[in-house]
Amino acid sequence: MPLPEPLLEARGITVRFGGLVALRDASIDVMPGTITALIGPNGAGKSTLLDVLSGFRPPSYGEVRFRGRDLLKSSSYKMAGLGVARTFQNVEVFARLTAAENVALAVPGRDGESVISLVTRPRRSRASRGHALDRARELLEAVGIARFADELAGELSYGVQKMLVLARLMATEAELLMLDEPGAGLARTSLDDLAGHMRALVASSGKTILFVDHNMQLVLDIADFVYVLHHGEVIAGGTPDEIRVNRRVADVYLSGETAPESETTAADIADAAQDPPGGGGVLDTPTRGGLRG
Amino acid sequence: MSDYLLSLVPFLAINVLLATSLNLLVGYSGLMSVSQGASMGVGAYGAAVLATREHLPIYLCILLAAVLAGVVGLVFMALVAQLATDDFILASFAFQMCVIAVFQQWTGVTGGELGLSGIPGVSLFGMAAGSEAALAVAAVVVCGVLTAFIIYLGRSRYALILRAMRESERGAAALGKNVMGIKLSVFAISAGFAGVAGGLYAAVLGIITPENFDVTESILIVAFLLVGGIGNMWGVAFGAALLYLLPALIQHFGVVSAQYIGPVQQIIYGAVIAVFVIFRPVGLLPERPLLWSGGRPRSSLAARVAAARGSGRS
Repeated sequence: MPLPEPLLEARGITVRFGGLVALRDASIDVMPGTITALIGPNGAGKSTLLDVLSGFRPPSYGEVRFRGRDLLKSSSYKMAGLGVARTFQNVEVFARLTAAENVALAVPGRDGESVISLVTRPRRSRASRGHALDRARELLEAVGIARFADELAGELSYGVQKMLVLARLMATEAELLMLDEPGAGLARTSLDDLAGHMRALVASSGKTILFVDHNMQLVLDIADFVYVLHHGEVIAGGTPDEIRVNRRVADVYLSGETAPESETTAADIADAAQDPPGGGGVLDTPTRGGLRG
Repeated sequence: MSDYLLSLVPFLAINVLLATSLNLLVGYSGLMSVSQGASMGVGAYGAAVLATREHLPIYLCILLAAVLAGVVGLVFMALVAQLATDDFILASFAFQMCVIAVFQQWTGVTGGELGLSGIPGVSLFGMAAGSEAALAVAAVVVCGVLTAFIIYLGRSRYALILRAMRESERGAAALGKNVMGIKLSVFAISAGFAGVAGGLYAAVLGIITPENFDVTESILIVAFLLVGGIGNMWGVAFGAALLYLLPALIQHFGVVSAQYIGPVQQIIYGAVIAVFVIFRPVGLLPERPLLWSGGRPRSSLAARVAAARGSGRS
């Protein structure tokens, strides 16, 4: 059986901020129908890479192809239409809109979104608005926060907001979903829900997921493929099992702390659920500690 | 109705149109602008010049002038759309000042400080052109139709995008919304409707000068929003009516002698704005969601009774 083409290919991505190199020659593939994770210590360049891949930050060098098409030629707002949608680390909910409105906004449908269509197709514009609301209701139900549908998004707890942006992402109908730290700040039970939703999106809805997270347990648990970034470079790529026993990855996660030639591997790190060096806010969830069942 | 009260009606209608059109920009999109007076002025001067020099039908003059106001607004917005909120307010102030400077300095066309006069009035349904009643009817019909259209826009998916853009431009872009294009369109639409208001204003007054459209006018329109309820179309229309009629009626019923009405009017505006900003920043009628998922929360008595009975946790 021939290998499938990657859905997303990034080649030689380099990002410079002044004299600082945030990403150096980073290349990754995202295969269709898989969950791919980007991990690495704080400042490794994970979020910067996600910004580049989602069209929100032009790289200094490099190319990004989605289904063979050069993504970097399109403005960021065109990504969702092309089939690439993302969430943000700081959620970016529309605070003074209701949860249902937040999701309805993501539902595709051009009728009623422009003044011209409102004049020329009033009936279809109205139908489109109703459809968006119905779809929003379904998706809020699906992620388990339907009871907050009519509440302002800014007044919801952080955990509920996280689920809200997941529903919003699902509403886009994009094929490739990128999530920036979906698990950060989630309690254990919510984290399990999140993992379940992410798996279901790939298994039942045919989506492809690329995500960044600090939570090693979540990553090793649900990812099919993991890339490890360190100081802006991709230092490893492999299945969770490969990454788990990769010495170099373990060193990176412990460098800066006091275990230079340790035998520790990523698996141990996940078990101990330690914060990576300098990792403010890392694993700062109730999942901390004793995770191996 | 007395002649005086009848003479207030066209301005009431025009102010409601100014408030609702600015609400799309300031309330929905969060683009705080103090240039609605300038856009109104472009409409007024455009209509006045076309009517007095080219002698085109007055409604055509108003339509063309409104398009001009929209295009001028579009060009301005194209230059400054990238600015952050605070800088945008300053840019809109600069736009306002520039437009007034043109009205004052381009004397060959605008008549400078003396302004333009002899602008024909509007009428509808064959009423005698220039009569108070004809002006009132025409202004109410035109402004009413356009305000209804703005309210329709304000309930659409387009309006939802405006609000989303206000809350998070990045978030809106990630959902496929062309933030730049939407900013341009909403400014042009808002300026275009202000242009219609300005054209009607010129036709009702018959004479215009630059100070009719200066920054005081722009701030007064913002005050309509602050008082009525920024982001709520019915609220801002009500705010416009309240703020316009209050000083006019005080004057009419002789509460304050005519020579003091100017300063008193400014004091009333200042005081009312201060009271609302401090004690009720959301205005009389606050913004409401556009979409309700499960019907209105305080909808039916039955729902409230059910909620009260089944209390425990919501």
